[in-house]
Amino acid sequence: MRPIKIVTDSCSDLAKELRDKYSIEYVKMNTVHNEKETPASLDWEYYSAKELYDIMRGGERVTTTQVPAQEFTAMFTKLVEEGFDVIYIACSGVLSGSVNTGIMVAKEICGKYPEAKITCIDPKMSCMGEGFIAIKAAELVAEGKTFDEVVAYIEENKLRMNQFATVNTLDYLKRAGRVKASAAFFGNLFGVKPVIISDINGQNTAIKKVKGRLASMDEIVNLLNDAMQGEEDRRVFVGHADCPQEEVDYLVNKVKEVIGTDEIYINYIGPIIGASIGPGAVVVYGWGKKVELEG
Amino acid sequence: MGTQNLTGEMFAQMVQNGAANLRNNAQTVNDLNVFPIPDGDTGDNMCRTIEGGASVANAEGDVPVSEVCSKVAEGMLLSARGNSGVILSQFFEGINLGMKDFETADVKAVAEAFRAGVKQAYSSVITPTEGTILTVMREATDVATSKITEDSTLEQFFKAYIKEMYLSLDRTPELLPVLKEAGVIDSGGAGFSFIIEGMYKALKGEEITSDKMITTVSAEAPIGNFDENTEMEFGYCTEALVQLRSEKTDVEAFSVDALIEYLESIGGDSIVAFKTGTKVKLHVHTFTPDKVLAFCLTFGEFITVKIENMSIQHSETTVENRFERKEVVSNERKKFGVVAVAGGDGLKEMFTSLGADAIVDGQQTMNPSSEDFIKAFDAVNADTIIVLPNNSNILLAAKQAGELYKDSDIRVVESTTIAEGYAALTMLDLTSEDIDVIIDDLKMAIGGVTTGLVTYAVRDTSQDGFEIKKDDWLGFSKKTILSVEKDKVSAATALLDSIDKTGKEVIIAIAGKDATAEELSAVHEYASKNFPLVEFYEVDGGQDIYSFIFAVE
Repeated sequence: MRPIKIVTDSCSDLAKELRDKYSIEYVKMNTVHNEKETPASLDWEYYSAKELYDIMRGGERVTTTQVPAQEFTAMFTKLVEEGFDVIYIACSGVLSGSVNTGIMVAKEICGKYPEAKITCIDPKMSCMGEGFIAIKAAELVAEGKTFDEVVAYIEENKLRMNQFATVNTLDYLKRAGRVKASAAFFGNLFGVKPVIISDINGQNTAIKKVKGRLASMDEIVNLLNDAMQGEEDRRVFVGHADCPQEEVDYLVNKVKEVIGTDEIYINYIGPIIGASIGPGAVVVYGWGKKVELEG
Repeated sequence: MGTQNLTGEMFAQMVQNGAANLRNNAQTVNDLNVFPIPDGDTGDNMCRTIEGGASVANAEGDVPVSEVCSKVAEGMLLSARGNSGVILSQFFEGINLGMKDFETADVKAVAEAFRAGVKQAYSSVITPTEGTILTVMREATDVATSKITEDSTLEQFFKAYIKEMYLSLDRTPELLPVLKEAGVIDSGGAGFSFIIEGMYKALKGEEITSDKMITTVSAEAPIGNFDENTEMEFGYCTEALVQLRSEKTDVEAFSVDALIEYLESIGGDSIVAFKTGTKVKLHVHTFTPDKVLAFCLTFGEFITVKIENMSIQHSETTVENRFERKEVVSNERKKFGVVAVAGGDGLKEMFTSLGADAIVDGQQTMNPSSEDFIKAFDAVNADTIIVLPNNSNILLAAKQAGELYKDSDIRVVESTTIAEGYAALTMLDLTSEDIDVIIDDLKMAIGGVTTGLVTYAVRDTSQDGFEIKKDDWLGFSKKTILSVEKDKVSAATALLDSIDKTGKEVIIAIAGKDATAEELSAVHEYASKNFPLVEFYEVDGGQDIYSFIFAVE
């Protein structure tokens, strides 16, 4: 049996420490600012998180491009030649075309290396939810599960990953075309914060209005707690797009207090998700009940 | 000698005289304001209410008194404005019920009808407050009724009525502490007294004339900025009250649908047409009012017609057109609609942008009538209509309109300030499609708001522990004065200091007409510096009276 390598992409927002720990590789998308394309590094090699978010705060647009085919070709070829089978945990297919490009390239590579297996999974999830699923896959691999068992488990369980995010403004997401929001979220909302989930199609969907920043953070933690009832895996991922430390502390303390867990992993929301969601976003992820809502 | 029997003609004259007497004294009633600020409007509201009855009370000859009462009551229900106005309209509705089937009414019948009026008035408010118009009408009715003997005349009844009415009015400060503190008698009771006084004078043959016309909004005719070269941009605002005529149409079966269709076919917009009884009220903006008039003559005769060139001082006519449709013609019936009351262009725009389908124009001292609401309900055309009155003095008129309106489920959410209505609307979410859930959410949003208001004092007084001089700037919340300063910005910032901000995260500052951009940013700066955890948003509301309205939530 060939060893298995888990690959994800720039949307997964997994920092180096976690990628190393779980031996996860990632393929890079690109950010585009002033017509200049830059690889979207999860280790902020080309610009700092602060720099990216300050550009957006200044009103300038940062756009993104999906993982280029040659990036997949290089990554898959390298891993296959090293003797690995590959499971690629992509960014939600409704938010990025990367999963399709990955499938195309995988077919080509598998033609060249008939002994290799490459499967591309649309986890219907992005950001750290995607990363969290990749970690789960890596853990299953470490437990000695077979390629097919890992793929089957992820396909079966991916909708049990729950996302609850809130933003100061929906403008960034609307501009990027990456949120579904009903008429309730139009107009100037003055202090009203939306709660955004990832629905069964992997689409970001604004489901609820909350007044005030702290109240909105309370709400996403409460909603995650509800979703995590009965769940054994108590890990919670907390992401933020360059928020003040007090806000991050508030959110983390809330998670500790309400969900009652100390297994909290905190990270910046990376360049790709950040470019869509905008500065000030916060998000929490955890395994739990199956998402049933379709926005 | 005196009058034994009240005829329809006499009752009509009495109502008109009552209206005229109040009209002459409306300002006196306005000034009986508990708060030392320029928002008193009880006199105007009651006046517009009774005029809705007086304008249709034009009985001649042997018209039964019951018929006149019915007309008066119907007119007043539609024109009712402000809480005192609604109570007044319900009083006359009670008289109408009491007078049913009477050709003429003797003193006993009149007294019974007045009792029915009091009962009806009390039932129109959920928790009747004593020391108000209600007390005055009840006590006067009780005493005058108890003094009736076999050969009492109407004059004697009214004389006794008036004597007790004034005694009762003088006692209102004893019953209602806010009146005592402000050193005034109840304004609604005073307005009522002027009406009864006027009615009594009609009985004695004294006709009261009034040169103050309050019903026409533009007391000053628009100045001619329309000349031989002005572009005819806006057409005519055309309003008519049409009496349907049996010789021209089947009055019973007549429906305004054909009329609306015709008005649309000639390019009219802002169309409102509805039938009440055997009359049709009509409002349309058109370039060809001649066609409108000719069409109306095919089914009736005009009672009144008003045509105004909207290209002349266009802004004036928006006052006349007391509601605006979001989309000019959207005949498709919706599941949900929202009607909000707002005055000032900025506020109207704000409510519209947040999803209100129709705005009923309501300045602080210019309360809309039940009829204004009904027109808005028609324009919205939805199964369920959520109403945000945004003023405690408009609640009853909105509710009365809801009861009169049968085509939609009308849900009045008790928003008592612009800030509350605004906060509610920002949280509006119709996705559940469950009206009870939706309304609960709105109520919860309102519960989380503290409203702060800034305006100036119109008289010297002392209240809530403050010595107030005329022209001082006042900041207050929930009818309690929290700051008194010599300038607007200080009053605003001191007010924000005093408001309990525990658990509050957002301040929305709605700047009024007289607040400058500098004053607004001065307040903003102060808030950012002193309450760094609270988000501060600026809105240009353009409202009268209040320089700032704060929604702290």
